[in-house]
Amino acid sequence: MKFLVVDDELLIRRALVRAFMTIGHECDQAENGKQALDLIAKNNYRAILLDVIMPEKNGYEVLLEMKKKTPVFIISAFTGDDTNIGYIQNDPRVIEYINKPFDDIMAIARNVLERTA
Amino acid sequence: MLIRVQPLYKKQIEPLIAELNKNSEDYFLSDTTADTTTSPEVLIGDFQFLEQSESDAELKAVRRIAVVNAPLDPQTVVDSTRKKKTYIVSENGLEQISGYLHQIKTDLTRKTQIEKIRADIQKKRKDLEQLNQSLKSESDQKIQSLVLTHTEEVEKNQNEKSLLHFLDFIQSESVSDDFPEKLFRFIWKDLKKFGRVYTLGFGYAHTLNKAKITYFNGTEETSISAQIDFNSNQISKQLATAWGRPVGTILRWLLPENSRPTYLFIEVVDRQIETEKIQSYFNERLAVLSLYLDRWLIEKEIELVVNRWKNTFKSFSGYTHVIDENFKIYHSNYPYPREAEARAVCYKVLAGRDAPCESCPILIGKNSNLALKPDQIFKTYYSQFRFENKNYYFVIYEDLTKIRSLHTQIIQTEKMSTLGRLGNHLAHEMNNPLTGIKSYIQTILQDQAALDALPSTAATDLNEILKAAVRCQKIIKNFIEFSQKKEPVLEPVLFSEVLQNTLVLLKSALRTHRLFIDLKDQQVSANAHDLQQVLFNMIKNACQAMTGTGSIKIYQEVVGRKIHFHIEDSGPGFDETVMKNMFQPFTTTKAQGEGTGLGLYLSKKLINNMGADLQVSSTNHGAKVTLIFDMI
Repeated sequence: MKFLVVDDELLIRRALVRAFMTIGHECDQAENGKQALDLIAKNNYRAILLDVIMPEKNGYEVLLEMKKKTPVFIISAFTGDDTNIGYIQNDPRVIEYINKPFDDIMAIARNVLERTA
Repeated sequence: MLIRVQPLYKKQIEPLIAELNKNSEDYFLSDTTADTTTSPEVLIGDFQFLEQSESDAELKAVRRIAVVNAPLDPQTVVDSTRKKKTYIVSENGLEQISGYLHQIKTDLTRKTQIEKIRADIQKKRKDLEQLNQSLKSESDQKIQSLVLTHTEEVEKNQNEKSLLHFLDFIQSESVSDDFPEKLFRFIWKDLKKFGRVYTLGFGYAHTLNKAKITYFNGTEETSISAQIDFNSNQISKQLATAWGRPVGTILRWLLPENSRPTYLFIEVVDRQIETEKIQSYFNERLAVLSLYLDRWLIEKEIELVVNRWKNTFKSFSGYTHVIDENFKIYHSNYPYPREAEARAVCYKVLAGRDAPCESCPILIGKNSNLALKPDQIFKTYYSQFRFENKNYYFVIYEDLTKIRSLHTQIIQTEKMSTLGRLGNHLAHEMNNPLTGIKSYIQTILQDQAALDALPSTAATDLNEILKAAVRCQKIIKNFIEFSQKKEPVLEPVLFSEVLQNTLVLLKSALRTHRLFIDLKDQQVSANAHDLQQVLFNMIKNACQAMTGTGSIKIYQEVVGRKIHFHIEDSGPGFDETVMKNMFQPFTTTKAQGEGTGLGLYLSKKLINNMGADLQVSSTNHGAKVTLIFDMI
């Protein structure tokens, strides 16, 4: 099964796709929440890597509107003043928080793979 | 002597009595029928007769002579003789009666005599007692009067002593700042002798319908202004309103020859109080008291006016002075040289000129903007007054440079805070693409196939780009940590680590200087973020203060239970005037517009919040900032 990478920053998206590719996995990409929801409706993913702050529906809205039980990894530069954090914390689909900026993207990709094996 | 005889023997006894009365008419026979009221002293008759008469109560003390005419039971005779005073005669020995009568008479006479003597003695004793009594009372009176004289004497002495004591007291204490309170305490102690006094005070009319009263309740002195008329007989009521409590009787005295009518008053409740003594106590002291109290009050008032005037002067932040027509300074809020001969002139002292300033408000007759020094412009306000036929001027100088610079500083602070917020936002925004760059390169470097397709130098170049991106992120991370306002939570931090994080931000500032660090791994209880901000400020200040290539030494020193971290620069150091105001906000040595003057002030606050201290000192070549933490 494929992974879905959702981030409005092209380079981050591409980097994540490349990282998964390097370890032999394919990804779909979405650059905002709206695109992501469309793709989630059509396909079944092994996991979703979801940015929070995005144009055209943000990460929280994706979680709110998404009906599927696909595992989710939140990617965000958590600053501690997110008011919606409570919602994410109570969502059983959220497996882990990946803090931006990344230190080592390859390690992140491997970790996601392991957690969804 | 009255004798009653049983009629049966009357005839036989009459001649006996007549015989007895031959020499003196002492014996009378009573006629029982004619006179029953008179008690006889002697009864003569047979036993029956005597017994019958016996029932008569009045005959009790009577003596009897019983005539025995028949053989009688001797026991009866003995009983009768013993029980009552009875003489026994036989019928044929009646002549014996006259002997008995004589005997009775002598007996009675003796008895009367004894009684008389007894009464005499009684009377004499009574007289004697009376005499004794009168003598005693007289001596008592004498003693009492003697004692009284003595008491008066003692009292008089005491009064004199007390008066002298009072005079001593008033002369030595009337100059002290709390003279009224001392006076109250003194009088209070004296008045105690005369009874309970509730309040002691003085007062004088203050404004049209108000009086200022100062009073003492035995423990503390209070001053109030209240609606009180000392001439009114409603004064107790007025005081009750002022004090908010019931008030007893008020005794008051007008202090003689006071500069304004001043009254001394006391409040008493006890009716037993010795009012007369209190009156005389005050009468003896009022004149002196008035004199000293008046002087003290006047001095206080003068002091108050002078102080008010001085404080008004001092309260102006700019220069303020009173000068005469010749610009001579009479009073100022700045120091000026006082020479014995001539008074200093304002243009010399303030502007360093030899002639009055061109746009002097006094010369041109209106408020003006005046340059005392080329870069110091003042706005002036002046007013004129006449005193003893001379014109004087009161002039205020408002420092426009200072106001302008303060204004700039406020704008600068505001600007800095806006820039801070903006920078924070910028840093977050830049993080995203940087993460992209970094991550993308990381993936390429992991992808051997991709690398093979690129020129041979690509891997090295990509690594360089990666390093640059990592450095950018570190700068951003530090910037965010530095600018984010976090709640100051204290935790053990490594001083050297915080310093290293700070130095990353200061790379450009440190470029032209040399840096020597000699630190051991020392933990301190601090907030890393705040400590970093302080270190940033201190090192940046040092960098900016040093001209040319300077050097900064950062090292630690253990002093007792404290650890000192020194940041020492190579000069030029602070001058003394800067040292004085060092920790005041808006103190800066930097050129206009460069510094906010908040650095040291905020730094010290931050450090103090951590329970540590920040000290600044001069070394022989430069300045030294020391952060003092407790050892942990």
